[in-house]
Amino acid sequence: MATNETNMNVAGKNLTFKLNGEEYGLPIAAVQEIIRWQEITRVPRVPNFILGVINLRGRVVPVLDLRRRFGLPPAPPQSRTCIIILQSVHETGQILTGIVADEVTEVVEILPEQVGAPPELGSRVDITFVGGVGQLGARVILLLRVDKILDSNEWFVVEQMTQTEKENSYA
Amino acid sequence: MVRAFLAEYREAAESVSKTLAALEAGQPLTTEGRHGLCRLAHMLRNAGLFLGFVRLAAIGRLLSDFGPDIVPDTILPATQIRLLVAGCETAGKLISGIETTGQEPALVTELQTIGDLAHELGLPWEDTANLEWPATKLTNELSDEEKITRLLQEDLAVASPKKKSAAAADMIAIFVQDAEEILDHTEQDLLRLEREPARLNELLRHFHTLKGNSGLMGFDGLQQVSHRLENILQAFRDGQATVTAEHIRFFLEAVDALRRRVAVIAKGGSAESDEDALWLERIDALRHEAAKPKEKIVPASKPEPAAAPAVSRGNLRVSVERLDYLNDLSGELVIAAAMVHHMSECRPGADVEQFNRALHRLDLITSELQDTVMAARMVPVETTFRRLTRLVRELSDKTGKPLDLQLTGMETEVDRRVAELMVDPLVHMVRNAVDHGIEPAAERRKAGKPATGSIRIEAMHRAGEVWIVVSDDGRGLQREKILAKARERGLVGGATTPADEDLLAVIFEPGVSTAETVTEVSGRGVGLDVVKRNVERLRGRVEVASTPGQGTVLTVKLPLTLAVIHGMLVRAEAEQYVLPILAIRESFQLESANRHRTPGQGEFIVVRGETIPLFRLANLFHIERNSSPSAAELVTVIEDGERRVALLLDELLGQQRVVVKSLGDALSRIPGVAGASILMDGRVRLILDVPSLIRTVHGRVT
Repeated sequence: MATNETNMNVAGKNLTFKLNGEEYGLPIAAVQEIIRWQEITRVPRVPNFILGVINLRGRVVPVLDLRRRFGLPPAPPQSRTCIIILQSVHETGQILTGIVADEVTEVVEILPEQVGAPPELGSRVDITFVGGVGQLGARVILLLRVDKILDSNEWFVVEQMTQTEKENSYA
Repeated sequence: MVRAFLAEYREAAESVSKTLAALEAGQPLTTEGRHGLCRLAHMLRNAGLFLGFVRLAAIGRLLSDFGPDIVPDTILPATQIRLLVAGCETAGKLISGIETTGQEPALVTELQTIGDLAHELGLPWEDTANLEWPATKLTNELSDEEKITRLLQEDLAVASPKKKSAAAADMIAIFVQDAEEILDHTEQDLLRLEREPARLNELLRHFHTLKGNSGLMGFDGLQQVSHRLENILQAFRDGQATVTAEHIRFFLEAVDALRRRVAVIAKGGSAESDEDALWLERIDALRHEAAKPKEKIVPASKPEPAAAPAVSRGNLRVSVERLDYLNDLSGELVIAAAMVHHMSECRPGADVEQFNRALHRLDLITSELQDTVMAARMVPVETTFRRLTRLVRELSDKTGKPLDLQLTGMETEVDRRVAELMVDPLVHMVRNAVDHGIEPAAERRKAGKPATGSIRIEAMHRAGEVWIVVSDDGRGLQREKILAKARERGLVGGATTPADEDLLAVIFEPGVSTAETVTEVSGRGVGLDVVKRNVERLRGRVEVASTPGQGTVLTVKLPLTLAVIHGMLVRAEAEQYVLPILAIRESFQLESANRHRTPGQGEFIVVRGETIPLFRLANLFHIERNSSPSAAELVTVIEDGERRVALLLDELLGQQRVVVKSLGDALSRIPGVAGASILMDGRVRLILDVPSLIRTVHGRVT
């Protein structure tokens, strides 16, 4: 159940985007910019949802595929596919991370009273990324927890598993 | 306070006037001469800032803008010499004016001359002729202190609130930097005082400067403490008392207390502390004590004018942000140059030769700029090493083991980041050596060794790397204990016996400590893993060797620079990577007949009698295979100094200098990848981490 505190955290101005037909929202404060899809340099030996890195005006920025991260079917980039650059402040300075969206829709103000608790789907469905569900009339927006998505300590927990099965062939 | 400045100025001006005379006689500028000039410039600028003398400040600023550009040991062009002479002479006139009237004289003509010369040299110069600082109108009836307070208040009142805090922050930053440096030198001189009594003069100067600076900032507590400490030193120098080990310890403690205070000030905290009264009391007590004769360790030395002044390296302080910016900028320039190259390949124009000449020039400038920036990032390891002197002394006191520390290669330059990140590892390595390595004196005598344990720290450049070697002549690592610990922690399987070097490497794992007793010094199982972690962050590695009864040698091997590397762009299937040139031993076409297979899928080649394991980069990195195997394939042998691995690649695309960029914290520890670089097409390419690749690969073979 979402507490009032959670509602407050995910409420406010959100950038909304589409992923596999669902609409998601990100707090606008976490978004630095939106860039067009571009070729991504693959990084070896990382979990598959880390697509690789791009050059953002001289900075090397990792890009995540939220479809894979959320266990959704992967899709090739389309004309409206774009990369949302998120910013977070870390002890070592500002960190930029890109996430791929099927399409960016708009910026909406979501009031705390419009935010419902994330659905309880039992322990088998991982919905830790969702901080709340915004309801604007008939429209349903899954409000994402940026801290969860950007928590790089979590990234490599998955890797341990995928890596071992891949380690087979040599030359 | 003005008087304190004037005294300091006279001293500096005297040495500078000698330098100028030499320059005018056509001699090259020495490093010391340049240092003197920079010091004077700094002093004038600060005096201007603190005391409100605009013209002095302007001259100081001009000279300090100019100073860093002078290359030592060269003969300066006439205009530069004229500017230096005019600047110093005018400053002298301004100061005599201040001495007699308390105000800066206008000196319109002189300042005009300086302005013209500055203009000719393209240096920024503010026209000060019409400037009238409100402060200079103050009457002489006020005391110096009152004047400064008034000055500062007026200055701050004029400035906008934002500017005001910025100016104050600036002054504090300058003070803190100076104070930290002075305290560092003070510590070193204290530690050397037992052997070199002449250091007393240096010490007096340090406390004197600190007193003056604190006074200028209005930090009364600090000023008083340094003043009293100076008085005691004065007593020692005048032969009224003798310096004992106890005194040195007291002074070291005082230095620590002062450092803490400076740290508080740096963070914007209050400069006053209750500690002051306590310290003043302690100092006075010591003073009375010192008057009585005591166990004599150091004979009070007579003032010794011949004592060599502390050798200064003429270091410049460059703000880290500015450096990083320059660094990025030069990186972009490299890319720009590469783009022009790319253009010339696409469009063969009419005047190719001219175009190529222009290109050549661009190349020259680019690499020159890059080298300069890189050089600015380099600092001697001396500062990093110096801190260890104090540590060893304290460890010796705590453990009761007599120790001797030898530092060599202090002038070896390393990247600024290396110097910063190596402090902790060095501390841990030294602690480890003292606690686990060096035996108590009695045990050493029994083993026929000198009672004093020896620790050597050495820095050197080797094979495109910086090596830092920490060795001790202690009992050596106890392999049985390490093995037991490794088994206990599951790092080594119960039945297997690891190779010696792998076993010794276990000491760098977290939670492994071989100390039998947990002591205050080390042994809580934390420590050496910090070494490994920090060294890996610097893309380096650490090696360990140990002979029972004779000691342990830890060798840290780091890349020379973190900023730019020479790389070979290579292709594996559809992906491209940068392979550092220094790690490439050779490349050749490999006939399939020369590939050998071991039972269980392994492959190797034989080069000049040496067997080298063979891997395909595409497989190591899980790159999708598109090409079919051909009869002859391209093989590149890479090495990390001792071990070699042959990599099957699809193509070598050419050499280039690349700027190393970080992949960010999240992706910084991927085995085989050292960082990223942006190439001429604007795309990111990953830089291969050869030592880590070799480690991964060897880990699989054995």
